[in-house]
Amino acid sequence: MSVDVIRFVKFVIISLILIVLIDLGVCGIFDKLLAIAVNKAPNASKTEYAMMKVDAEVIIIGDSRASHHYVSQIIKDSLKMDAYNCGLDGTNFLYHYCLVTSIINRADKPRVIMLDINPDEFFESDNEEQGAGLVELYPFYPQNKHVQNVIHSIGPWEQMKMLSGMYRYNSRLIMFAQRLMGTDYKSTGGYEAFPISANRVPKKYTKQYCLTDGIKQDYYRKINELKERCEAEGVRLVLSFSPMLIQSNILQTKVYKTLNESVGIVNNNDFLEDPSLFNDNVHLNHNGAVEFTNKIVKELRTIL
Amino acid sequence: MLFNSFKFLIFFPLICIVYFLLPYKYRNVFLLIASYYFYMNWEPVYAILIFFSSLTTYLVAQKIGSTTNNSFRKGLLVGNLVVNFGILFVFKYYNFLTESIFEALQLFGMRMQIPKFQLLLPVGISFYTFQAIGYTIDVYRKSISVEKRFVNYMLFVSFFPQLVAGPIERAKNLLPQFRTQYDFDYERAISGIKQMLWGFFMKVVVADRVSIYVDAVFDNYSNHSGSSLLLASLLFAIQIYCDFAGYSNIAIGAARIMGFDLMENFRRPYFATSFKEFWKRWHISLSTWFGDYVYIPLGGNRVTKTRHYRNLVITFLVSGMWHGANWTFLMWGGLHGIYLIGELLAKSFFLKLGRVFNWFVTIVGVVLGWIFFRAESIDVAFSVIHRILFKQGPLFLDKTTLSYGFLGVIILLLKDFIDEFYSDFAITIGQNTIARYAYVLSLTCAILLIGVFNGGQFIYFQF
Repeated sequence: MSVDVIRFVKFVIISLILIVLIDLGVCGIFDKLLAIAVNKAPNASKTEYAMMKVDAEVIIIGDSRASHHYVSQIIKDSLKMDAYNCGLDGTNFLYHYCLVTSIINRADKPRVIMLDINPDEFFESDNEEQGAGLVELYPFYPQNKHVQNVIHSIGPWEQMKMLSGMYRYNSRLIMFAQRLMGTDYKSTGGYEAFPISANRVPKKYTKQYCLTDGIKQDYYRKINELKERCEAEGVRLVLSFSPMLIQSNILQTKVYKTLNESVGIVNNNDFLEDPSLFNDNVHLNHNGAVEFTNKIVKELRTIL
Repeated sequence: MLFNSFKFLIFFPLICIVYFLLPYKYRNVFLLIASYYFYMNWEPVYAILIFFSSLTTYLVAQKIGSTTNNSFRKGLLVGNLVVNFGILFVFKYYNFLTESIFEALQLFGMRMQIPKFQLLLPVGISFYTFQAIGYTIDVYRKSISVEKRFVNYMLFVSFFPQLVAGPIERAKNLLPQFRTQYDFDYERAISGIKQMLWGFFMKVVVADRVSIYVDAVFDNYSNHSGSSLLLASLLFAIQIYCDFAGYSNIAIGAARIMGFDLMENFRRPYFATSFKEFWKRWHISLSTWFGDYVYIPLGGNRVTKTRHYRNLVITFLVSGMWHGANWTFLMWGGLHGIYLIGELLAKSFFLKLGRVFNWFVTIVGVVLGWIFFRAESIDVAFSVIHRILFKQGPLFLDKTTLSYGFLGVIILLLKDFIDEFYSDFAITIGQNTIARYAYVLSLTCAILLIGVFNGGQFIYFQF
């Protein structure tokens, strides 16, 4: 073997050892930071709070549309049940699935879990990155088997990436700082209002879908599994389609019908049509959220 | 296969190990198989197009090389250009042309049914087609000799590091390297790893991060203020640079590890103080290709002023069309042609104003061009510009994205600044062992800690 090869192998081995050591060190620091964030500001960190501490009777789970559409205080006042909105920007159905399974496995269970469904997520798509909406859950990977199962189901590459602690805490540093210094979501019950702006009235548009797209069977199975598991644990799972300012189409209707027949949905996305109630095409502003939550509460009263 | 995928992280070291373990005579065949495997990870059937392009250009070049009859040689070249550009036209421009004709007829109240093809654009078709055509033209011009071995030639067209997004290599640079026997070289390997890591940093830490903001604003431009659109336009300039130069760095670094030298494709373009200089620093392999095979054959600057300006506009319009079948790319190319003419006309004026002012004018012009490049249509581009100028309002702040994005941009500017103004220092420090470890470790940690791992493919793959 030539001298150059030996020198190179030495360089690679030393670099890899150093990277592993740094990775372990950085991961240790972040584990500590996570513990500090949860202890010092338990309500400032939605994912950690939802995974470890949330004890409300009604829990709302979903993506940004959930966090901006369900006013916890209205649910609390109307149903006389404590409510917390765990909706979080940039999350996907797999994240919500992990959250529901983790919450119902705790000793202190909620009475109702309201899961906000984004119908677009239920279409097959070739180039999607399922791991993208799960990043918030990566720190829980070593200890949470539900998170492990979902990440393993994405594929072997994702499983291998989890070996790196730095990867699990990717893009978290600023978030920790924000959480230690920033918003306390407990005061709003997790609800995040979009301010009302007269200059900002979006227009309804028709979204183009590929006609060959079908409903993701894996997601459909998971929904049914969640329903059975919640029933077994004595928790009422309620599915909801919150409003969009998008022309409904054949595929969205298909998702709605499929889920409504198997699990039941309390409302549909043709629910609100007034553009002045929207911040953009997929998010309600505060007025819209208030109106929508009032309607949801009425429907909840009939089924609880 | 994407460079920024986990699959490539397994694929590339394996290829390198097998490559250096193999006897010299089998290495090119192995690299050829690896290159086709790399390409076939996208749409396997389109590998046939690369093979067809390689075969036709190889056979035509053989014939051109062995014939002395000038008209026959010219006929062969023209035939080859028609076939290869024809394939490119069918896949990339046919639908655009038919749509444009349809819209033009509608303006005169006429309707006509023109058939359309439902074809997926083969990744990298513009890159390998131009590379293969460049070879045939060089053989016709007798500036290079004909490559006898088909394996070497096929590898020249399909060499995996630069197959899908360049640099567009010249036969006189790359082909002789496939005839040379390389032993593993420590210094080259370390230098290659460093360049690859820097490329990953540019793509994953900077380009994919700022693209979150850019996409959020541009995809919903009518709901955003002029300030947000201005910031998004500036960030798009950073994004496209880091995306494309990042790819080029990974390609050049990967090739260097295996012993090959690919041409430099980017030389810190945003430090340019004129549009002429910008094009000497941006996508160098394409600019020089157009220079050699379009601009100079048209007469270049050794003609009358009017014809010189015409040559500039034609070259940049063709360059715009190369990027994609959309009027926005044509507008982008045309704008740069106009910039260069303006620069020539007002040369003495610009000289008096100093480098800082000239740099500012260049950046403003380049960013204006990027608005057309990024927009879905000309109308959208003008609406964006209108909003930037007249619809000021609150800045859309995605704090997390902007914080990490600016951190990446600061590191990028710092490195580019050192490379531009203190290159000797960069070279000296790069040879220090501790500095090498520090460089590799810090970039790896930055990629793992603040990189975006679901950013998707490189912008230039679509061209």
